[in-house]
Amino acid sequence: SNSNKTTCLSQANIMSSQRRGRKRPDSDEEEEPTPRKRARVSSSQAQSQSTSTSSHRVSEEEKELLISEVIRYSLAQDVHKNPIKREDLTKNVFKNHKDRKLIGYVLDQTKKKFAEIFGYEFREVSKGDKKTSGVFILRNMINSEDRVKYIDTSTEHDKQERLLIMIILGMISINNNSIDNDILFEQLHRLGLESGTLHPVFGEWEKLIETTFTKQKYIEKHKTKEQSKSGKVMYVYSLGDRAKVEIGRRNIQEFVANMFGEQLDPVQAKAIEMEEEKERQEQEQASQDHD
Amino acid sequence: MQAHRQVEDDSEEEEEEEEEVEEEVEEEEEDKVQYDEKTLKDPSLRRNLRLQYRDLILSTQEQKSELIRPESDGLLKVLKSGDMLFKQVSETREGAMDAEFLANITQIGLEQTRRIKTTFKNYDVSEFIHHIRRKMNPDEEQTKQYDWATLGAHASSLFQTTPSVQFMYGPLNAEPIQKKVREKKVRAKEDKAELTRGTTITNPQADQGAETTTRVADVHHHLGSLKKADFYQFIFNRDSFSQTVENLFHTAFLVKEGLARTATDDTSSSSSSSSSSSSSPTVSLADAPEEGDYTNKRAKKRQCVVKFDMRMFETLQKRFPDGRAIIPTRKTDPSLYIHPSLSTTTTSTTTTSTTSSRGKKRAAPESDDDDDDD
Repeated sequence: SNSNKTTCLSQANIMSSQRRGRKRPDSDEEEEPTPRKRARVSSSQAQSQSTSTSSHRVSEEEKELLISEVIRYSLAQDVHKNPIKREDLTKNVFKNHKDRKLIGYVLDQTKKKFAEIFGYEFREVSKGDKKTSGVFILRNMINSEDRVKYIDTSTEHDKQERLLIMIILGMISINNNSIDNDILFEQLHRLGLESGTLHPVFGEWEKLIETTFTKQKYIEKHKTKEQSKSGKVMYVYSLGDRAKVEIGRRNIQEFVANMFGEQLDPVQAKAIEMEEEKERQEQEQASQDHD
Repeated sequence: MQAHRQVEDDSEEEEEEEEEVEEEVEEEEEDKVQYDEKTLKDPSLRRNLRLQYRDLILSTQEQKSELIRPESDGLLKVLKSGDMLFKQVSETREGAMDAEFLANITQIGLEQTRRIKTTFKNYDVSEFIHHIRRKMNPDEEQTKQYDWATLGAHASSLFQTTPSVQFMYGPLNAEPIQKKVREKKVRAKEDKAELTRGTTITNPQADQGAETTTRVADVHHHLGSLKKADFYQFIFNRDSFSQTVENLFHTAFLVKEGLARTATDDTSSSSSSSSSSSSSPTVSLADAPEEGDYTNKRAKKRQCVVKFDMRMFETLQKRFPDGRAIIPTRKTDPSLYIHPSLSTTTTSTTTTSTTSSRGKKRAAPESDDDDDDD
């Protein structure tokens, strides 16, 4: 928990962290790789060697600069809760360097630095069967308790919004990962969210759900071919990438159970955990192979 | 059942496949009713069939909410009824109705599959909201005041979001910074600019320095031709005060170099000596002392101050009323004049202290020292 606290403090001093990030080229080699990451570290080291002997001859300094640029770009996107797309990185940061191995190396190092310096996980989201999607989301690695105690910067309004998101996610989860928008709105009506009227807390709440939360990737919106009774096109909402990364299916299930005054069934919890773990491992393997 | 579906896909081939249906009907144990071709095409029978289809479709729609419940198998029953009806279908119109029926039940089937829970514990959405509502609005009698904040704090703790950072300098720029490269370019340009600028600056002060030297030489020349003269008469230029001062200045240089000598002469050679003191200063040509004279102390360096102001000038104007100046008036080029504050070089011509090997006079143009030595 000591290392946890130091990363808490570094999250709290993010500005100086950025500067620190640029001046630490040697620390990567000294890092103790965890058993899971060991294979990845050795392969990335091999990659870095091959990159330095490639015909492009990118200097160490340039590599460090690229890593810093990726970090900066990612942080800029993250402020607006935009996911970080690989293609955007290629366009804006890498520009002339098209070498895939180099990009892979830089992204690998970025992941390490984010973890070391910020305590963030630079995670690639999985889209269904495709384990690598070229989309990254930053996730806070500090555990919930410490996070709330030391570094939580969310306002009351943020918390209210998050409750709304949580309720929607809960409903999606109960309904087997998809829910029609008219059912959703029907139920939300029971919580004081009336269609077409401004809510005292959320204001234009429908827009908030349909646009903002969708754009932030907490929920996903799909059109169905069905038409509702009123003739409007129906949407179906499902779990968004960011919700999977930031919250996780297990926590959503637990929240639901808690609302019913119950505890999450341990067997079920374990099942979901194992599923998520397996997913993550497959994804790391896939992203490694991809590079 | 599978053959049934095959048939439905091709309504065009229905008439051909009539016989197939009939064959399969014979195969199925449940249905032992046999239809022959003629019966099937009977209009009244067909009308009846269509009626049954319509009823079936309507009732299915009505039961929809019941049918989509995962636990219910009502859909299967409905499907079986539909199957039975289809056996009587021989024309396209009824076939189309069957198709409509099939479309409906497939939709219901889809809905039902969606609702089948893969999770262990099956919760209900409606109940979920009910519980949430209780938590947010404990006193249901009150007007709809929902407390989003308290429960929000609990929900918020589950979000592993990165802290949102607001910098005082403004939001983070998504574009990479390009400072370093540009700085280098700018510097290179600056160097070139400075170089070109440097060479075009002319230094008038330096030129003036050279001019002073020539003027001193000039004064020396004039003194040379006179050998000896009254000091003030020598420097006096009745037309210009400034020229007089300059003459004094140049003479002082000569004295410093030892090329001129000043003395007070009791016997004044000036013809118009007034009631002022009988001794008047003279200036005469001299030989400059050598280095050796300074070291064996035969020659000494001395200083004195000469005061010269406008009043003095006016006095001289009275004393020497006519005659041209001994040292001729020099033309001054106004463009060469640079105000002392603007000059960039450090050679100053405004104050100079001169040392004379002999003599008591130190020339300081425009000096206001009290120590005057008339």
